Amino acid sequence: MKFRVYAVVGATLSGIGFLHANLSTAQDNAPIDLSGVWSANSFDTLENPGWDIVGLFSCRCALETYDYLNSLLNDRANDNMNAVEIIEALEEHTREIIANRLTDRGRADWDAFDLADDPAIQCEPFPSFRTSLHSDPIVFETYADHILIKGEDLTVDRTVYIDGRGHPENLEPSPAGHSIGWYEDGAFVVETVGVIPSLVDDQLTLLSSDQAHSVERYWLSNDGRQLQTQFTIHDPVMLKAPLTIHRPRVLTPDVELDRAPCEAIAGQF
Amino acid sequence: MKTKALLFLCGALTMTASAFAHHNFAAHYIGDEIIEHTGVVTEFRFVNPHARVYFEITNADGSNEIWMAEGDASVALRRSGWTPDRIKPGDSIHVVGSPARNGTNTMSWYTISLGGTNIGGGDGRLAERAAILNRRLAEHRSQRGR
Repeated sequence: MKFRVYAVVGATLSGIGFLHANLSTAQDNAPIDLSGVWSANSFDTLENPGWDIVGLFSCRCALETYDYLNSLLNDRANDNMNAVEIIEALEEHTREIIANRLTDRGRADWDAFDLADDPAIQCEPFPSFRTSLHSDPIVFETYADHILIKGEDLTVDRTVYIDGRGHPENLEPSPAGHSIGWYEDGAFVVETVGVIPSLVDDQLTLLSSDQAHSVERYWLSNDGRQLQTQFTIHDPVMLKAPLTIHRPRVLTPDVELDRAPCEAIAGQF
Repeated sequence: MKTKALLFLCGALTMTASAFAHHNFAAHYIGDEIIEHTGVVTEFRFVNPHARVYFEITNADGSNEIWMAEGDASVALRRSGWTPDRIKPGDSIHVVGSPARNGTNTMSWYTISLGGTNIGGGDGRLAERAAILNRRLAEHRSQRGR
């Protein structure tokens, strides 16, 4: 069995150093085919045969919330709950997890944030973190040295370099940041740094600092119809420990990305 | 003319519906309050981040007002078969939704009735989602543990 140690060392950005170490078989690190359009459980996908009951109730929720979801679905004591009550319970569960994980600074910003200040209301494109968590369909386009992750209207196209390069030094923060990717244990892993401080998600009302970076993992279900996605944000300014948001998507070959322009509301309307 | 009522279901929907919107409706609207209006459509904007319908209402004193109701994103509506002429100027509509935080003549919409039929299309369409999810939930519970 051939073992490989994969390491990216010394990419220093904003005082943060990164080390990735992976010990696994070469086969586990083979590329996986992510081609196709992958959709979250938006209304138009709910009859997709790729969904199981957990997927139908999936949300932009903490990884730990999925254990809670399983108890809501399978413990008969919860059979009095309808779908809306379950969805609300999941969102409340994740909000509690986030609230308990915030630093003092993170809590202060969380409390002070006004949704009316969401830049998306004025059609400002999402930075990378919010793009990753958003509900719209996504596609992966594979090129020689990078994978392009594309979404819809307000999302930012994300270039993920897969040629072994590290992050550049002295990177100027930007909405897209800088992403590198690799295959590990049957998953496509993406690390993103250099994203401007921003709203990570409007539902979670989580804000990021200039010290934040993310690690995403994408892997396919055995039948290839579900794409599991995990987004982990590391932000020592806002969070006492990393936070992982989990969400599955299903393959929706009949869906085409709709990149219709955004029109902000002007004046009174 | 403004009828204000608390409708438990719609209030419950507010918090969750925005999970699928392009930005959170709570930014502009008071989710636990429900208002209803009947009026005549003056314009329908089939756009992102959210579709908007403008309509004129007639108040009890005979005066007229223009209102705007904000629904789901055009990308999401299009995938459910909506087209830019789904709602047309001159259509008579009845809108149920939440009022604006800033007191302007704006509202989110949960339901729009056109010719007496609810055509949906509102904020996150959670009412429509809930119907499907409740059916699948019942199936899951009936099959569980067999």
